[in-house]
Amino acid sequence: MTRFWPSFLTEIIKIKNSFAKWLILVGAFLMPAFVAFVALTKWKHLVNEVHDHPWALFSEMTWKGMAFFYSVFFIVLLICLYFNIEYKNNTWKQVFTLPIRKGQVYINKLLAVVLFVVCYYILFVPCWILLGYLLGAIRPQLQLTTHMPDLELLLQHCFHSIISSLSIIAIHIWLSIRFKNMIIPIGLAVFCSIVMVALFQGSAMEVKYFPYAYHYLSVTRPYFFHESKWGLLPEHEWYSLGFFFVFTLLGYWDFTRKFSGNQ
Amino acid sequence: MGKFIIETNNLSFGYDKMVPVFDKINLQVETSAIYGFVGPNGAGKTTLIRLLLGLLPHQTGQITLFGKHLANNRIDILSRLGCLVEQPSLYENLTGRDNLRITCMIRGLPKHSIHTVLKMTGLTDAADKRVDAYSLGMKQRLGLAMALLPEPALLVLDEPVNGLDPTGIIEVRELLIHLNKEYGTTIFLSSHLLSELEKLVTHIGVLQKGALVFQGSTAELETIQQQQSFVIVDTSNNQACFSLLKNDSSLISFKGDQLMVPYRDKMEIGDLCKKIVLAGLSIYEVKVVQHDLEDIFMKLTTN
Repeated sequence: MTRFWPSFLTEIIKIKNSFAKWLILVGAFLMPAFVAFVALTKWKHLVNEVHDHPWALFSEMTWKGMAFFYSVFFIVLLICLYFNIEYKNNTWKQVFTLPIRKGQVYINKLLAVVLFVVCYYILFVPCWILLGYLLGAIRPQLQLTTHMPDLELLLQHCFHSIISSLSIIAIHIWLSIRFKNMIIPIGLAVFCSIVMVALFQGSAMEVKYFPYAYHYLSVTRPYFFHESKWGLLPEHEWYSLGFFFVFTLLGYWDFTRKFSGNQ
Repeated sequence: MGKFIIETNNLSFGYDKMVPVFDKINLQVETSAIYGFVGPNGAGKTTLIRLLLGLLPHQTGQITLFGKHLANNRIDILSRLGCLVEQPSLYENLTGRDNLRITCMIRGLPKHSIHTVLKMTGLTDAADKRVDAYSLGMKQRLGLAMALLPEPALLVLDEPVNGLDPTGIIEVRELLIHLNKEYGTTIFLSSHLLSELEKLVTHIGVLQKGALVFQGSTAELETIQQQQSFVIVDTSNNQACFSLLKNDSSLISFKGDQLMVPYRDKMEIGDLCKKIVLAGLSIYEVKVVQHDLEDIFMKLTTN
């Protein structure tokens, strides 16, 4: 029986020099950099909105961007690129001729994706703070250097962001097992993003049952959306955990029984 | 474990159930043998290798490796064998050493085994290069190195010399013979290079249209080879010569104008010539025609 840690660590080695690794590194920097750039070009307008809470404004701008870019494009692309390493190199047959259970391979892959997402946040937090201070140094009028960022709120956002993303992680891992061609999961994600926008435009409360909207619901508060909090988490995040559980089981079943890498 | 390290019992398989790739195959690979597996393109060689490694779900029949059923002992069996199926499966974004490290970590092997297989396959200098910069031959060597990593009791190799230059082919052949002789490693390999197999194998299996048309040792093959060898004789009167020799063997026949006499060993040629000369006939030509593996393969796969 293959030990867990060595086999799990091989999943980390596999992303060396790959697009998936660069997506994590560049992605963590991209959104704060984009928001900082927008703030730099529209600083005169933003100065009037600061009201002594410059970091709260910078945070809101960043998380609104994150809600769209991160949940749909980052996660879907990351999973597709990560699974594509095996498809492109035709290495599934190598994986399945090693003395390791298929179930363990699946668990390793799932945990690796979750770890990559956590790594993304670990890189995102310092990037966000650094770019905030840099912006403040260039435009002192924005008061970012004279105030402290609200780290507690930032970490809370990160925590809820990860929980709400779990549903899409499990769904897209399952899709990457079902379809060798990465255009299919990406196409589906784009379509679901359009549906999400339509649901928000229609102020539909049913949005809480739609996994592609969970990240947006966690990091912003649409005016029409009211939901109860069950324990530590809001209702839709419990649903996210539910989707994660169901699709993880479905993926496990598919992977261990049918998957051969030739789909 | 019994006499056979690989054994299949009435193994049948088809991608489409109505069109079987092969039907009721009974493969038997003896322990410590070098078993060459040949067959024309599309005969099902790679499919059979994939089945033996558990990469395809087999439909009917049994597969036994190391005396254990593959269906129930997959992990145990895979931990004792090394394999190379079709083109090597390599992470091209990683270095050769990283590729070996992945196999090493999953198999729970010591790090120094990487150095050993790199040396064996002549890849030490290229170990830290990315695999996408490797030539086809280097990739093949790396695939072989990965198969050798666990010091397996059984090596399953699909076209192992594919893409190698003549020197590489000789090196791989010598390496496989060394592993077999020195460590008793059983080697099951398929190849299209029949001349290459001839120099390497102790046993051979010929797959044709979903059936194993021959399976046995090279000694058995030599017997067939001998049975199918003959002497061409041309004399001053071939009709008289035919009458003279037909009492010795009913297998004498005409090939064009000349006579075709079964060939057993070279001692018999002397006796044959003496007999013809003593009968007052002049000998114009005596030529031994022997079949090599390629001829026998062609005969087996076209009949």
